[in-house]
Amino acid sequence: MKRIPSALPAWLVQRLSALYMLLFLLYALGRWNLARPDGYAAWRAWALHASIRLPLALFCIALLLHGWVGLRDVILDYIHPVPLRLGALALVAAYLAALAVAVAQVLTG
Amino acid sequence: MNELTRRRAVRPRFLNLLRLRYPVGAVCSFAHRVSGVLLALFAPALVWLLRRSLEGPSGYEAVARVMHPFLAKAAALVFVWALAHHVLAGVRHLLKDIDRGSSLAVARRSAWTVNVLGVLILLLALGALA
Repeated sequence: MKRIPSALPAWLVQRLSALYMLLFLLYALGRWNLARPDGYAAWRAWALHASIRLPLALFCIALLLHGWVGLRDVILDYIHPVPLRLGALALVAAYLAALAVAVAQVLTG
Repeated sequence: MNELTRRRAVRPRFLNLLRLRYPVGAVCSFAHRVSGVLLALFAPALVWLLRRSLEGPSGYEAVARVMHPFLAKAAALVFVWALAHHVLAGVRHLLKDIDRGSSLAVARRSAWTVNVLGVLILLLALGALA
């Protein structure tokens, strides 16, 4: 099969998003240990604070990209008939798109 | 007949899964894949929990209560294992990308480490949730 040229190859997207998510998780864990929020007001302030809002949004984008590459790889490995494969890929794309909408609503709300 | 078609012709067709051997690296790698799919399936629930917990005091209380039932705890444990194994096995892959730990002996040791640490973190979570 001919490869479709793209600016960033899938494996690189997978690696870069993985690296970013790893750093974010360490940062979030450290921030959590510094000040564990107790109760609704503290939790809301913690989760929507300026110092985590943008990193969290980037984390969600990285997660969606990483999920797409990973699930795509699983489908390409195990589902061979073309119509089934395209159907599965479309299903995953719709799933991740719905997730992206839900995440955007939470982060901007 | 060129090399590729010859290889295709002799490729085994019916793999008996019970007769295949699963070295520790294969277990680590397969679990990486399974945990990845699990994490993807957990994502909507996590987004929902985040949304509810930020909605208002009642939503926050509801999320805190949701963690009590047995099923939610079991799901949380599966999630913790999936995340721990996926992150650790992912770090192992990243190290291999920069050519650290590619030799068989080191790769086997790191695979054991990842598999065992994943289960240890699961046990820690079990202790914390119990």
